[in-house]
Amino acid sequence: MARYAMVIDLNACIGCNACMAACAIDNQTPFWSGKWRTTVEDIARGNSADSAMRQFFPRLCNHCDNPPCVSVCPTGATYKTEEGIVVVKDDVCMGCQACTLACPYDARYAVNYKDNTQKKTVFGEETLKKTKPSVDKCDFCRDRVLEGRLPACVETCVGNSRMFGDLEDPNAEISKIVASGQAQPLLPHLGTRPNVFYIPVNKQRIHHLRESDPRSLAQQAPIEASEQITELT
Amino acid sequence: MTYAIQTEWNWLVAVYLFLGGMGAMILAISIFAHIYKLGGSDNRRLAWWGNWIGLAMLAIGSAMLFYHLLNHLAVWRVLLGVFYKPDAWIAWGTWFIIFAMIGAFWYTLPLTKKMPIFENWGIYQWFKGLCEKHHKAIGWFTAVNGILTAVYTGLLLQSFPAVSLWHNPGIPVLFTVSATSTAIATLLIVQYTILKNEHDHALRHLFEKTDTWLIGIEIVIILTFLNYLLIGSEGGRVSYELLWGNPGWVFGFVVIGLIVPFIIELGVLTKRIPAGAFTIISAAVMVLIGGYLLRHYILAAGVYEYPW
Repeated sequence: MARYAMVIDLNACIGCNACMAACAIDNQTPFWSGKWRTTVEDIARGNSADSAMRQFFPRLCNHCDNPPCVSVCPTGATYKTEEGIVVVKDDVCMGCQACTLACPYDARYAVNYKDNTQKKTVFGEETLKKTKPSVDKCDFCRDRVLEGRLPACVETCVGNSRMFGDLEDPNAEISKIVASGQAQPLLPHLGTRPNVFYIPVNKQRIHHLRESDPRSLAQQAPIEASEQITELT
Repeated sequence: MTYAIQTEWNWLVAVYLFLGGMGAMILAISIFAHIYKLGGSDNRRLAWWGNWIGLAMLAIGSAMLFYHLLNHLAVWRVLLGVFYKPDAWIAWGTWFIIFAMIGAFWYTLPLTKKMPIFENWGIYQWFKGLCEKHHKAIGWFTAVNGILTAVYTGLLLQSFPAVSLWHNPGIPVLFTVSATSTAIATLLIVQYTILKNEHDHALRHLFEKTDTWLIGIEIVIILTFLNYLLIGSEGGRVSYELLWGNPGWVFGFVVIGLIVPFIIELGVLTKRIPAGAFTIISAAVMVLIGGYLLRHYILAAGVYEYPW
């Protein structure tokens, strides 16, 4: 049995948003309403010229092994497939949005009647994948994955920031990275057991020298302590 | 870390939680008052009015949730949820509400002197007789489903793990106590405005006494929430700031919805404030205002901590 997962290397994301575009087109999301299955947060940190930095944080559904969205869904529209992917059946979803409130990762959005009308115009009525008003979210491009292809966001990622694979395969690169502890899940204390892992930014360093160090004289200009770049937990 | 409040569940859901909890407890309390002749009075008219008012509240509350759905045509699927999604509280809550409403209707039939249109129908008379025969069982069935509905409104919010304000054992207790308090307040209004029964003085006194206790307990629960939010997670602290920095919460719920009616009812019970319809109705209306504002602000102050 497969257990698909994603590792995102925050050092490699350049914030080009190609993943968002590829996902939106492939999965026909109502992006004109600001509704995306995956987004890239553009984070500015620091409070001076020396400490200023910009970081990109791609995010999507974490396909948890203990998904609260599945627990609260009263119709069974949200469920976990045998490949470990959390999906939403739009024709079973009544749109109470309890799943949206249950998700700690802000991975879900509502598709209403108006969005669906516009989707017909943008994507074409005959090729429309989801037609019912419902809650929508990333499904790891399940159709593509079952055909042996990569999710659209992974395939299009120019910095190879996103890695996708099967954690049940011990020889897969993603399994080795996760097993090494280099990549960590988000908010693990909530008990959701996510399957999206992040390699934190590690390029930034605080070049602090003690005052007694003669080299410190060369660094008269104060260097403000950078904030912890990524707070994963 | 980013903090965000939810916007999906708005005032429509707050009304659902308010009317659902209160309406369900009105059924339970008015039925028990009738079955066990609380206060030594017959309470037949109170049960009739209580059941119809409770039933109407459940219907309006459910209609609010229905209106809030994205796909109204798929609503029937929630009825099947209990069979394959027993961990989803909405699936259970829907059935609790349906059973409570059906039971309330059955319970009122033997209490109804003359039903328009159907009165002369044989099948109606037969069914009315059947309800009369099993009146106590129907009453218990309705009351149990009513109590479960009131508890469910809190369990529903408790099932969202990312929000400190909701995901704690205090929320179902707070919502159940509030539902019971608001239900008693409604029944007091009914007694003082519609029934005006001179023989149910003991029951009114019992309701006033119980409501005072419940408001007092609610104040203690709110204080424990204060303590919990201040000391716990960052999300909890942000919820605290949202609640206690909002005049609607502080003056609308805490002062007008809890403290003032508590003082009035305590004053009436200790005979320091003259008892009377106006005094009791005023306090009861304030309790109802507080009951809604509680749900409204608890929903609005649900804070998520996003790690980006």
